[in-house]
Amino acid sequence: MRMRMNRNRHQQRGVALVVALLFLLVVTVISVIAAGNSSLGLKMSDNLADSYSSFQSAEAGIIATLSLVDTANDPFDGSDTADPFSAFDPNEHPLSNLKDGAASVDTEVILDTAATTCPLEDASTASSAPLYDCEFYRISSEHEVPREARTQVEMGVLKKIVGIGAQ
Amino acid sequence: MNSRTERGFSLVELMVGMVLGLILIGGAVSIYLASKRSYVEVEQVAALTESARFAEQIIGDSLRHAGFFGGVSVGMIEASSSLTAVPSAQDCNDTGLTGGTDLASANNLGQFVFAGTVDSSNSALGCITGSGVEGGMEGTDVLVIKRVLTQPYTDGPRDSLDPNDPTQGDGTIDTPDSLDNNKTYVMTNNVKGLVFDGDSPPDISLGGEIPGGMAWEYNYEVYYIRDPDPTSTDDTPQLSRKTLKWNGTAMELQREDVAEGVENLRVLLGYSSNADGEVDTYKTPSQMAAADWVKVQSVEVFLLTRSATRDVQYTDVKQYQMPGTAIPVANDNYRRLISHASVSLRNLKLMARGGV
Repeated sequence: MRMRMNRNRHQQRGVALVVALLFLLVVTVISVIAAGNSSLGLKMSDNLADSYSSFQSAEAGIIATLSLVDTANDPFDGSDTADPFSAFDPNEHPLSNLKDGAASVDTEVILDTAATTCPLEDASTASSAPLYDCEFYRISSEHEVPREARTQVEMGVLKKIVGIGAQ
Repeated sequence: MNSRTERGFSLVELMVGMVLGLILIGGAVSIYLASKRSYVEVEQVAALTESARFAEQIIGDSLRHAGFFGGVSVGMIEASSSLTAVPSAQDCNDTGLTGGTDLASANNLGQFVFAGTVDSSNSALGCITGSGVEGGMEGTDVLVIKRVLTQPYTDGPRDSLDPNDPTQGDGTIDTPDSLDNNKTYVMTNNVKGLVFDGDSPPDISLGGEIPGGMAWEYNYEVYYIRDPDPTSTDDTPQLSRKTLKWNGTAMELQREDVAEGVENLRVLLGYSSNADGEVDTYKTPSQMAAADWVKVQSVEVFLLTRSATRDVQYTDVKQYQMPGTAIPVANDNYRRLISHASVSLRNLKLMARGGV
C-alpha cells in the first residue's frame, strides 16, 4: 500500500513537471516570435545603413583619387592605373579611415581617350586654333563587403593638356 | 485506502485549480493578442518603409544620372533631322513659365531636371493630363529627368586607348546588341552628340556625322503621383512615371507604376544664388523662374507614403510637413511615413567653380 501511494505521489509530481514544461514552451514560442518580429525591423535598417555607407565609401574612392591630381602620385598620366594608391603606406592610405578599411574599396583609373580635341561647351565657343588637347579618363570605384553590400560608381574626368595642335 | 486515493478533487481544490488555470490562460491569451497586434504593426511598417525606400532609391538613382549624355557636353547635342517628334499633345512643356522655352519637353535635352505641380484639374506640364487614372493627384509635384542609360553600344571591339577612333569597328552599331528601331538614342563621340531614332543611326565612319560615335539609350522619365481609382476612397495611391515608348506609329509617353502607397511627392530645387558653387537657395517648382532652372545643383525629394491596408486599431492624427505646405490631419486608419532624400546632381550645366 505504501509503495502504491509513493508511486502515486511520484506520478503527480511528474504531471506538474510536464505542465510546467508545456507552459514554458508556450511562453518561449511567443517570445521567440516577438523577438523575430522586432529583429525584422532591425535587419531592414541594418541593410539600409550598409547600402548607404557602401555608396559613400565608393564615392570616397572617387574623391580620394581626384585628390591625387598634381601630386607625385598623379594617376592621370596618359595611361591606365590599376591602383592609384599603390605608392601609399597602409597607414597613410587616404581611405584608411573608412569603416570597412581601405581594402574594401577597389579604385581604378582608366584612360578612355588619349590626347584629342577638347569638347566644346556649346557650338558658339568654337575656335579655329585650340590651345589645349584633352585626355578622357574614367575613375571606377567599387566598394564591396561580401554578403553585406556592393556599390560601384564611375566618374568621367577630362584633363586639359597643352595641345599638340598649339605647338 | 483504495477509495480515498481515487476519490478525485474536492470542490475547493477544483475552484482553486480553475482560478489558477484561468489566470494562466488569460495571461497567455493576452500575450498572444498583443503579439498578433504587434505583428500586424511590424508588417505594415516594414511594407511601408520598403515602399518608401524603393521609391526613393529609384528617383535618387535617376537624379544622380540626370544630365549624363555619354560624356559629351549637353550644349553640343543636337537633334537628328530624322528624329520623330513627340506629338505636342503628349509631350511635357513648361507652359506658364515666363521666359521658358520647352525646358520640360522630351527631345530638348538641354534642361535635364524640371519639375511642376499638379493643379486642381489633375494636370501638370501638359503631359500629366485628364481626369481619372491618367491624371495626377492635386497638389503633388511632377519631376522630369532626362539622361542616357550607362551602357554604351559600339560598332565592335574598341581599343581601350582610343575608343572614339573612327577607324576601329565596322561602322555598324552591334555591340553588345544592335539598336532597337523603336527607341531613341544619343550618339556621342567626345566632341558632339546627336539624338536619333534607332532605325536611322547617323554615320559614324571617318568624315561622317559623328565619327567614331557610341550610342546610348535615351531615358526620359516623368515621375508623378496618381490615383488608380478616383471614384474610390479606399484605393492606394501610386508613384508612377511616364517614359517614351513607341506605340506603333509615334513616340508617346506611357505610364509605368513604380511604388505602391506613395501619396505625395514634393521637390525642392537647390542652387547657388551668388554663383560661388554652394547651394544657398531652395525653391519649390512654382517659385522657380525660367532662368533659375539652369542653375539647379541639388534636388530634395520628399515622399509621404501610406500603408496599403487599414488598421482599425490605429488612427493617424499626425500632421505632416511637406515643402510649401502642411498636409491636413487625415484622421483615418492608415499608417504613414514621411521620407526625404537630398541628391546633389553629378552633371551640372553651369560649373560655378574656381581653380582647377
